[in-house]
Amino acid sequence: MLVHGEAGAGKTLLMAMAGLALRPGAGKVQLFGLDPWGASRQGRARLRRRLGLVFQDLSLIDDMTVAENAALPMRIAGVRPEVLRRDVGELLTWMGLAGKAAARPGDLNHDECQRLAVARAVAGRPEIILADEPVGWMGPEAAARVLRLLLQLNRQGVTLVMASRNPDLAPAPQKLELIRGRPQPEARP
Amino acid sequence: MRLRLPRGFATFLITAALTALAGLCALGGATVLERTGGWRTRLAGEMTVAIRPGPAGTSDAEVTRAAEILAGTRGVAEVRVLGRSRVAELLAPWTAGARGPDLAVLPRLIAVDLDGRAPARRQGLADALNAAGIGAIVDDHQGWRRTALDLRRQAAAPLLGGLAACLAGLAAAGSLSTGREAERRQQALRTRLRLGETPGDCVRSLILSCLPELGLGTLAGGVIAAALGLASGLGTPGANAAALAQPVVILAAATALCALVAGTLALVTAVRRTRDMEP
Repeated sequence: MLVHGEAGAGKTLLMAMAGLALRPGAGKVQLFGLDPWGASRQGRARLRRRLGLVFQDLSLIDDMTVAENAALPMRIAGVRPEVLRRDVGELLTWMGLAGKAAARPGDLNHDECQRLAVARAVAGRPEIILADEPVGWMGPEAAARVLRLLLQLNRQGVTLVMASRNPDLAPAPQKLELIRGRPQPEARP
Repeated sequence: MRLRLPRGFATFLITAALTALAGLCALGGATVLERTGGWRTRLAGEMTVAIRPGPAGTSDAEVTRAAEILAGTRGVAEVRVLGRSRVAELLAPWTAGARGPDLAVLPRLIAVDLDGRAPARRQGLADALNAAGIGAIVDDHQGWRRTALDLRRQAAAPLLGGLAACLAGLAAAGSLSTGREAERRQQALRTRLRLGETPGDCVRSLILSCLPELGLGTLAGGVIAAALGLASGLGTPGANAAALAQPVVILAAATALCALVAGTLALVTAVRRTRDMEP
């Protein structure tokens, strides 16, 4: 699914609520058929682990290395260290960040930071990926590569929700346009 | 060049200083309790009889007779007649300044050790001496015992206050250091929570990063208090191992209490801050 709209349309807000980063003041969020805000903190944490998030502000942790940042969802999920090392190594290679595994996010350029954020989102093998402007700062080659990965995961059964200002970012079976926080009826050809 | 202290060093110093003070307060309190208690027990177990001097002083024969009467009274374990020079020494604070008082006109003192099981009463001793025609004053040390009790109360209040203030300071140190660490790691903790880490795990990681400075600080404070206590002779009436055991236990308990207070407040702050960060 692609959520698109102009800046300030409410895409990030919608993604934050879907990603359980914001609690809605009114209305209801349902995730996997459950009411996350009616669940316990532990229950909500379990639901969050089933999501892969690419934040618009990237939210990389500065005092962790690139590899540690990418491995964080797997570590939180309790993946064994040897599996974690192997998977993160592969993922960073795929993202073109293998040579920067020991660097800190502060040493990366914005393009690389965004690739790292995507790597972290897919590392935990999530059931749903919520990606807010996942390729906004990337060069065309890196953007194409990252989109290919996301779409490949989508074909393998992962639900993919992307938010972007670009309505033609990627082929999507469902598109939702937001204007001032309100979804617009889908334009029919 | 600007001197940059390691992170957490200030917390370490404050914790060490407050723990050392708390330990010294506890040690001082225990010493006052123990010494005044011992003093009161000793004073309660004996009486002092002062034989009133006549115009020509007090004869040795009269004192000996008084001692015999006292020794024969029920409830008396032992009687010791104090020599004239010892009496002069004891009464020196009251006679100093007087121009060489004649030792013969000073009252003669007899120390009476009471039988611990059925001690004699003050009135009983006075009656026995009066019946024998000996003018004497029997002092059961009530005044001194009251003084010891007052001393205990007066010393206990500031020491308890000091201990409470140190514990309050440690609680604040635990809370502030955890709060500061939560502030520093706010972005990382928020991200971890958003990625599905449980609040409990976040609290654990926050506490683990604060515990070394708090733990080492209390430990160092305990060691400092032990060194200062030993140097000033607090809580060590004797030099043997048994006499050392009590202050060591008191210091260990005070240090543990300090660590518990600082750790508890650190934990409470970590839980509260983590809850605030969770959406």
